[in-house]
Amino acid sequence: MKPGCAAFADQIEELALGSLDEPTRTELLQHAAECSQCRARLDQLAWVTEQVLATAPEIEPPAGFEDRVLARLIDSGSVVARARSHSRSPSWRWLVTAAAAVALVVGGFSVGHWQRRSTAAVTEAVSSGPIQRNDGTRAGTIVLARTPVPHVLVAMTQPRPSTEPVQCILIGPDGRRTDVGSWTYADVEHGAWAVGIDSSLLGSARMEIVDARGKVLAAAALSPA
Amino acid sequence: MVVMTLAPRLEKLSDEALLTALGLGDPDAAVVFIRRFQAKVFGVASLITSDRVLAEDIAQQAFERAWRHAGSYDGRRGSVATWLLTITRNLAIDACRVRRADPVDPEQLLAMLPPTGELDPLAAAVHADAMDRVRPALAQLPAEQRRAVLLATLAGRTTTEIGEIEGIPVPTAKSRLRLGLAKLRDSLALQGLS
Repeated sequence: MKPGCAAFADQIEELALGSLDEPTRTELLQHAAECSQCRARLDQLAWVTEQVLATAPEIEPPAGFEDRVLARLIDSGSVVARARSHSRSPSWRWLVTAAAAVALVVGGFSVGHWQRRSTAAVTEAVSSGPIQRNDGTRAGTIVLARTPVPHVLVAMTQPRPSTEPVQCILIGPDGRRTDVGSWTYADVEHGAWAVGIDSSLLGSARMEIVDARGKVLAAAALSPA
Repeated sequence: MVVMTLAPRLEKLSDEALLTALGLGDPDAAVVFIRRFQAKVFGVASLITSDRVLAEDIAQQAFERAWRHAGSYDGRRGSVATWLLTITRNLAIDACRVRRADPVDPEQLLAMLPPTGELDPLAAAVHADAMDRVRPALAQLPAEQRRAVLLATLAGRTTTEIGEIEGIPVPTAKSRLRLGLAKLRDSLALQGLS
């Protein structure tokens, strides 16, 4: 037993339950960092506390709680205010910086990473490719990425101010087609749209943008990033 | 040609994926995350503070802290739920350090744990898992040890406060808490959970 273990053992329950004041708390944690046995005992007690905590009753908060929390997160800059969402199927959007969207389109071919607006988080692309219209002109860029969650990002150049919804279809190597969501050009921010996808779709070979009548407006072949 | 709609709903994301999305500032993910955990978070805050207004402030702080520290969550150390409830508990305890509200009847704490039949199926399954494991283990403790454990864990009371509530010396309160936690640990370990 190391010096300090006896004192640690005497207050380990209070330490695990978070009821110790400073500087005692810091002193004991320093001891735990140096003594694997005491550390293991502390971890066990903390785990027991968490198990009991998991049985805490659920009590519905007052009406409007969700809105107040969201407002607090937005005020603190942790969450970006909701943009309009126009989608026939449930979807969620990553908000990308204008610079990132331009970089994807202009830099087009170096789409290894793109940066989020609100944090320094970086995501790595699995595959990407230029989006081409039926007349062969460049329409934008598509990126499939694995992190932070699997998703597809479509960045369009010169997005048309159209309110007609278009559909994003991912096509697998076996030709299997999957509808991953829809948007209207008028609603996307900075000409970029993103939606989470099942991880099995990260191996998609092609993408098509189709209108409500099923006409293919643009398409892209995906290449590993 | 087979066209399938596969756009995943946020509600179907795992707790870990949802926390990641929250940490990246996605507002829709934030809403789903709040809805998923608000009752539990507010429940813990209410138990510890015994003050509905303070409990809501604590609960709001907990979600804000969850965003700020989303990147530090380590799945190897426990579930997102217990991580978030631990944050809530610590905030509530800190807020109550100066003031103390009405004494808490520890047996009422045990009685407040809801029967799983009142929850929706998914919540019931998760809650039943915790309840099935922990509640029987708590019930097996001697009454005085059970009270000490519940006052310390769910109600966030110090051993000094437990002594005052129970009308016992502080060393006795510490002893009951120590023995109760040790028995609980051994009981849960026997279930192969630790």
